[in-house]
Amino acid sequence: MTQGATGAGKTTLLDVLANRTNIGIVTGDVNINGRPRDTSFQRRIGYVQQQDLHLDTATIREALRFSAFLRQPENVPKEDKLGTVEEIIDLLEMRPYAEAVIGVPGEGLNVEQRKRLTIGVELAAKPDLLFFLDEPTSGLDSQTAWSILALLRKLTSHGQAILCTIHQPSAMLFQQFDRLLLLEKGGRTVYFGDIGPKSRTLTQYFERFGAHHCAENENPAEWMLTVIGAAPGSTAIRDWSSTWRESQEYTEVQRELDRLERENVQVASVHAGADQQYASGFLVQLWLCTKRVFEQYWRTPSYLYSKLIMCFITVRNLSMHTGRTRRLTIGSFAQALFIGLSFLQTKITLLGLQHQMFAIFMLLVVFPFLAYQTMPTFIIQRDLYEIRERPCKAYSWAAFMLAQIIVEIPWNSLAALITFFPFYYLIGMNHNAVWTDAISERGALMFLLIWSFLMHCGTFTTMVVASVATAEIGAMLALLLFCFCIIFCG
Amino acid sequence: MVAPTSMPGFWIFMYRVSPLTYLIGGMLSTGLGNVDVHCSKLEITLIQPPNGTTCGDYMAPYLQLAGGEVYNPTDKAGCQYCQISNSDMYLAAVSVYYDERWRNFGLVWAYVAFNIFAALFFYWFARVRGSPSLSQTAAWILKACSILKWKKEQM
Repeated sequence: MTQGATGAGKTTLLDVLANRTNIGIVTGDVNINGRPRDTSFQRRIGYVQQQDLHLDTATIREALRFSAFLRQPENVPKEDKLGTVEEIIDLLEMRPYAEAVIGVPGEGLNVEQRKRLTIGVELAAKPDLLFFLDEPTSGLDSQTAWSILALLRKLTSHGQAILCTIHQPSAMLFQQFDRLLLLEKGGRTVYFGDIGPKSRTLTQYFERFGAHHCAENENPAEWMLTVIGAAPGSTAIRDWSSTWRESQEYTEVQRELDRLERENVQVASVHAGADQQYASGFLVQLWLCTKRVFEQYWRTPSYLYSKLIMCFITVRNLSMHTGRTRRLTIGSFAQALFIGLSFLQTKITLLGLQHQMFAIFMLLVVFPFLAYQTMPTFIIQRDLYEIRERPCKAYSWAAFMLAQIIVEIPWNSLAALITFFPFYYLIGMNHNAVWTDAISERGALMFLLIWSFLMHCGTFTTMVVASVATAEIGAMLALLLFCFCIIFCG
Repeated sequence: MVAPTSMPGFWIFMYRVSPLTYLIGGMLSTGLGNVDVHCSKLEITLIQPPNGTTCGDYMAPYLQLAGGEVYNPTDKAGCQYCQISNSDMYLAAVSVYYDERWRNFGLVWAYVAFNIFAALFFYWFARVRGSPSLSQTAAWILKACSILKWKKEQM
């Protein structure tokens, strides 16, 4: 366990160890079994972040399976991966609500269930090296904190190495840990070693250097912070970090480190797939990501309805508008009869022609609305990917982006179909094609054009939103670009 | 609707770049292309020919020049003139041609392909590559300067 006051650098230390920092300058060696970290390192550790970030439309079992399929090595058979997921569900006691949809905070899973799931998702990857937890008990009530720690205890007894940061644990929680790294402001080490039964090893160390006695009923975690002057209103009686550097415990730790370095170099061997950044192949990643976005879309029917209805309503408005055109066409047809011209001529007047032209322009105006709808769902996926799934190397960015593009294709095709029929036939453009003897060709081409327009909308939206920070900026940018396009299109 | 020729010179590139140019072009020509247009009563222009001339004879030179149609060529009074006889004429004024409908369709797909590649590129460029640090940028600039200086000296 790592403990320290705010700003001591607990999370930073964890990030550096997990190779997740991209700012500042990091010096020193990080070795695992005597070898430096390789490319596979990030997917072989579990890192439970402080915030519980999940895709709200997935169920617990799906979230766990997604992690298991992507992050366990490819040569593990599918049944084993599914088996792991079921084991984890039992281990985390989530069986009664394993099929529940995660939902957004405040509805769906509660805080504790979310934390359990965050841990579960990392466990499903079967991290064989280390398991990091960043403040797993923060924000939880003592009962929940206790059950989370009991779970961690259970994991260690299964042979999992765990590294955990905790802000200020209660005495009971504190007892659950084996070893402690105590940091002081600025990241200097104050103590590193066993906690011991009833925290005696730890308290004896501090008492030896003049700290006041830690009473039986005192919380050693808080007592310790008071001693080093990190608790409010307390002052340190000495410079504890230099004391640590001169202590016998420090020399022992150094000697142990030297020994590990020497011995492990001989036993360490390159494990299979050390140079693989991702556990699964690109196609598997693409398939699983696409499947998940489809599920997200399917379970957000409001998005789909609004997309399809949008297309339909635009067309309805248009057809109401062009219904007039149609009447005008019929009207002119009647007039044509009246002035005695041939029956068999297309009755399209100057005004009718302009109306139909206008109708085609109006159809394109649906674009910004479609873009506004698509962007938030993209941002949800991207946040999840960048904050949680990219650092742990679940899948590559190309798989992520392609999945976002692929999912739009069938829905936009359906939208094109819904748009085409009322648009084309209510306006009566099919009559226009009669005279060129190309009714089917022109009808089909009009559908294809509407289809390609919606495809263009979908991919254009993804292109615009791909790099910008929020959906709002993306929407503004898309509208601006669209305006430019439509102003200058002829 | 603006014809490309009447756009301010500088902005003509936007007309060529905008995917909607080709989309609209395709839709207009597919939906409205090659249709006979017939003026409604209100749209007809009435013209009085000189005595003894038929409308057809009188209007012939004008029709050749400006297009359009006379509905009563044999009448000797009250010529009914309509500016347009075929929608292609109307569309040609905004540079939309019926023959280019399939070409335009293909071009829209070229834009779709471009969007996909650009989406991948932008994402990579802005969010995967990692922005270069200030010192790196400074190093590049210095390097570029030294190359320029070296070239100057060579000359």
